[in-house]
Amino acid sequence: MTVATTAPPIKTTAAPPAVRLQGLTHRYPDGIEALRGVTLDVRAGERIALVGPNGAGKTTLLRHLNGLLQPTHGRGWVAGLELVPANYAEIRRRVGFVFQDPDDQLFCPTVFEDVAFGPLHLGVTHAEIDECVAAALATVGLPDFARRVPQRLSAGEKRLVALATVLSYGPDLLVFDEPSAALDPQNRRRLIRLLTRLDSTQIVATHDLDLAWDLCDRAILLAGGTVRADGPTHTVLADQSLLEHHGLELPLRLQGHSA
Amino acid sequence: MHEKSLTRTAAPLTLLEQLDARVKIVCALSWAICVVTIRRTDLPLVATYAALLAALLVSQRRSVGQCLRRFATALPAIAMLVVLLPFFKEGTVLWQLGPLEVTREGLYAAQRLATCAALCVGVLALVWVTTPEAELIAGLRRLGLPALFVGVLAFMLRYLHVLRPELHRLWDARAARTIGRRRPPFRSATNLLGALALRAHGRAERVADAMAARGYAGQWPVSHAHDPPARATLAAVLFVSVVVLLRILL
Ligand SMILES: Nc1ncnc2c1ncn2[C@@H]1O[C@H](COP(=O)(O)OP(=O)(O)OP(=O)(O)O)[C@@H](O)[C@H]1O
Ligand SMILES: [Mg+2]
Repeated sequence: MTVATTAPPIKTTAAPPAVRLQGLTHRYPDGIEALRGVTLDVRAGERIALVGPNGAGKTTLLRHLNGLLQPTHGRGWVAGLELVPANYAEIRRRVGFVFQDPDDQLFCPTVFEDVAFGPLHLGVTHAEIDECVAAALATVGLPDFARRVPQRLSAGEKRLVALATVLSYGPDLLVFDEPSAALDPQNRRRLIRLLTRLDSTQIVATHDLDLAWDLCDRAILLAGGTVRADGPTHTVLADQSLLEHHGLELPLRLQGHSA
Repeated sequence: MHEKSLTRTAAPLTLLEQLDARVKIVCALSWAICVVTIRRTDLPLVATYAALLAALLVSQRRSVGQCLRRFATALPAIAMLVVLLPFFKEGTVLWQLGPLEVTREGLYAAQRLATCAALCVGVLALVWVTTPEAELIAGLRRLGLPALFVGVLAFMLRYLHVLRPELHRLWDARAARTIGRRRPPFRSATNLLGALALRAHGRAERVADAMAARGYAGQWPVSHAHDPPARATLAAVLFVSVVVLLRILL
């Protein structure tokens, strides 16, 4: 089911793929090889679920897409820009990374400053910033939160504000690490609805296979640092023996049917 | 952008709470400058300043207790200095306690230190209690203080709120495994601190990543400089004039 390797993206006339990884390998300084030759293409506008057991390398993969980690071997491109330090500034303008723990993402004294942080660094002027922040907060459904203090928000509100901090500079690619962790069912629904409405390309690393089922068109199963399956979500996540082989379980909704 | 923080309680704001943070910082600074020039013999001035401070404090109604508590946290440090000073200043010896000598100059210096410290800490406590942290930090930044200094302060205040619960979680986890033995042996307490330091370090790394991911490359963006409202500026000018005039006249 793995996507066939295609030629390097350089001389194509069509828009470059949103993400292209070729033989991406990452070895941490202590010798652990978290990714071993990952090859995949993501077309603009796709919503992709990245699933796999603990330690599969999901977080490691995502961190490459934003220049937070550098490939040990192999190459990668985001929006046609190769993943090399010279391009990191431009890549970060185009990729919004929502971290697993909102307390890492919200580091400013107020929600306003947090949401304004990205745009101000990426070239939005002070004259436009109020509007930019208001629009991002309105998108996540928290229009009155600008003056709030991050430490006094509920877990669900923190999650939504964290999303606003990247929406505020309009990235083409959104990358999420465990977006539904610590959300109650209602807020989880709300997040899924919200993400479904956004047009940007999305890559979502998650253990919540039901969220993947509802949100994503395509699922990539990662285990031991390699791609084990890559195809339509409703095919990959319905393959019980494949999932069980990698320590995963069917989405709850399918378990209901088979029981 | 300047509506009051929603985290406050609904009770009406006192005058001090309404003031722009920058105004309060500038006032506190002028106050401190006048206070450190006080001589030991300026007793009327000290009395007047103390009365002014007390009046400001009382005007805070519901946060008087909070101000006093903040003030009290600084007391031990001040007290230690005040007690030690008489022994370490050269001058006319008043009493001899074995090898230790208490000098007249030392006593005078201690008296002056106690006065200055009490007046300054008192005003700081007032500013702290009447200004939400976020506004205080924005105020310092807009006043043009070095970005690094304000940044460190901002992170400290922000992550204090994250690390404190983390310490409690560690503490609970330890208690759960030691079946709630009340007094932790010393080694276990140091282990706990080590664990907390590791977590703080991990947290710092992740926050640095989150900053880099949004384009941070060493420069903190300065939010736009709203001018404080005219009334606030007027209040500040008045306050500073009164404090300076008192200093000159008394
Ligand atoms: N900073 C690091 N240094 C060394 N090894 C690391 C580091 N971060 C992760 N690893 C290792 O790399 C492997 C992949 O980790 P990664 O965090 O990418 O997995 P994951 O798929 O995100 O797992 P989870 O579902 O638990 O979040 C693991 O074996 C992990 O122990
Ligand atoms: Mg992970």
